[in-house]
Amino acid sequence: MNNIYLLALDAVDMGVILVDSEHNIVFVNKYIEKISGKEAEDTLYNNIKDIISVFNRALYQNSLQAVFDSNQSRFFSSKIHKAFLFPKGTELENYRQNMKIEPLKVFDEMYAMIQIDDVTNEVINERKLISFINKLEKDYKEIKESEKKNKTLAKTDSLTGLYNRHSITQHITELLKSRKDLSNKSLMFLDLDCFKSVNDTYGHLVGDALLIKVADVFRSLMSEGDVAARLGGDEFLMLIDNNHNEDSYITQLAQKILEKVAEPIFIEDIKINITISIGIARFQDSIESAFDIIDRADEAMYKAKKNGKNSYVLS
Amino acid sequence: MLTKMQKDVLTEILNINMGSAAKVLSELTNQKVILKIPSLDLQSGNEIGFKLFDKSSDFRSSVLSTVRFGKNFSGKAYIIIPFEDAKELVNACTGSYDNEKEIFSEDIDVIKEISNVILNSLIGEFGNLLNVKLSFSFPNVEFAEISAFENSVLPLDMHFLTMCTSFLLLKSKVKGMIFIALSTSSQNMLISKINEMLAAINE
Repeated sequence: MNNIYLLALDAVDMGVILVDSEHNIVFVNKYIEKISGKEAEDTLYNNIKDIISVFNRALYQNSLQAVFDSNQSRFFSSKIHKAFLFPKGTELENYRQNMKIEPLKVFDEMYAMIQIDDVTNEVINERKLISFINKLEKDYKEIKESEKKNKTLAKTDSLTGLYNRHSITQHITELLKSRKDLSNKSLMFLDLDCFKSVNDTYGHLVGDALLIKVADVFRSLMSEGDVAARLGGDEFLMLIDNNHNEDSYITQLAQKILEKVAEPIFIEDIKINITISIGIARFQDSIESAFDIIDRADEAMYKAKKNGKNSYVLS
Repeated sequence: MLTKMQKDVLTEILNINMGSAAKVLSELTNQKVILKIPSLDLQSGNEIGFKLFDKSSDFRSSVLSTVRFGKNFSGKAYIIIPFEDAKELVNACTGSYDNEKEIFSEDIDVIKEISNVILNSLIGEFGNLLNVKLSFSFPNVEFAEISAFENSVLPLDMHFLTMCTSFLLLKSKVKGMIFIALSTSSQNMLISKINEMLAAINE
């Protein structure tokens, strides 16, 4: 029957050593033979410190003695101790073992059972897993950032940074669907006067720089909740939250835009004088689509152009 | 539950043994470690829950290490360390500040070893004091959330010897709590022994 227990101990995938109260080895399993490279008969009745050198140190010796003195068990972790018994030629740095020492009473005799568990692969695998998880997290963040950037790019006009035609049309469509606070909203259609002559005179680069400066003027006059977009060329839209549904608010804003745009604009050393025409349409119940309101604002803007430009018309 | 005199005697005895646990930890980590129990009390699990695990407590998310001990003097001992302090303790002990905030299996083994040293010293001292031979289990380390702790980890109707503890290491200070749940007969044994010692002092 005893042979069955010994065979079982030989089969386990960890080192098992039994020592008596003198710290002499009375049993080693096959695992210990394999790791130490010594046959059982060469280790039996040797002192444990001759086989596992860490037991020369007081810390380990005292822990072993505590088994006999006060029945105490002791656990040694691989992160602090690294390893206790490893094959010759193996680098300690790459080897990780946990060790347990616990009392074992056989009839009236007290022994200390030392178990050495190789956790090298667990530690390596966990580190690989951590590194893999960290990489996944990093990749995920990059993808999310890239998605966010692409979404922003898809929404904005690359020249001015304002919303583009598609996104403001979508915005107005959603607003119409919600039918929320529509009476407070107005749409401005803004078109620079004689912009073509700027392009013809100074070239497209200066023309583009002028459009950026004009977009900055819009931004500086916008309130929270207002939305500005470039439709293309020199055409812009501004969706305005018309404070308390007062026409005076929107007309004052249009006047400010006219005045600010009419101020000389400097593109490097070039002084440009330009004006803008503005058509304003209020959201009403008859408006059914984004195109309806944009058309109304566009018509009002044409009236402003006909009136001699540099002016606004409220439809 | 314990008189001031009883608490003083027990605190003094246990602090001597915490000193020997600190010595082992110092040797392990090659740095000075001071372990202190500034106060202790005998409380019900319910009282502990109310006092320590309120919403603002650092212990709401913790690492819990448990050891069973038995024979003539029996019970269960717990060390509970707030999650962030546990990682700090592991880093301080291994000297490797790896920037990882998570606790991995190697870290759990370090907590297991530290709690093994501390609880062996504490429980061992009870054995010496009462002149009984004890047997100990290896620590079982797990993560404890307050809800789990309240409901199942710490029995609410049982009495615990409650000790605040602090680990002072070279660069860090880590706080923890130690609870020792005693069976009624073990609790009576301990109180009788303390009373015996107090009577001897007063003679």
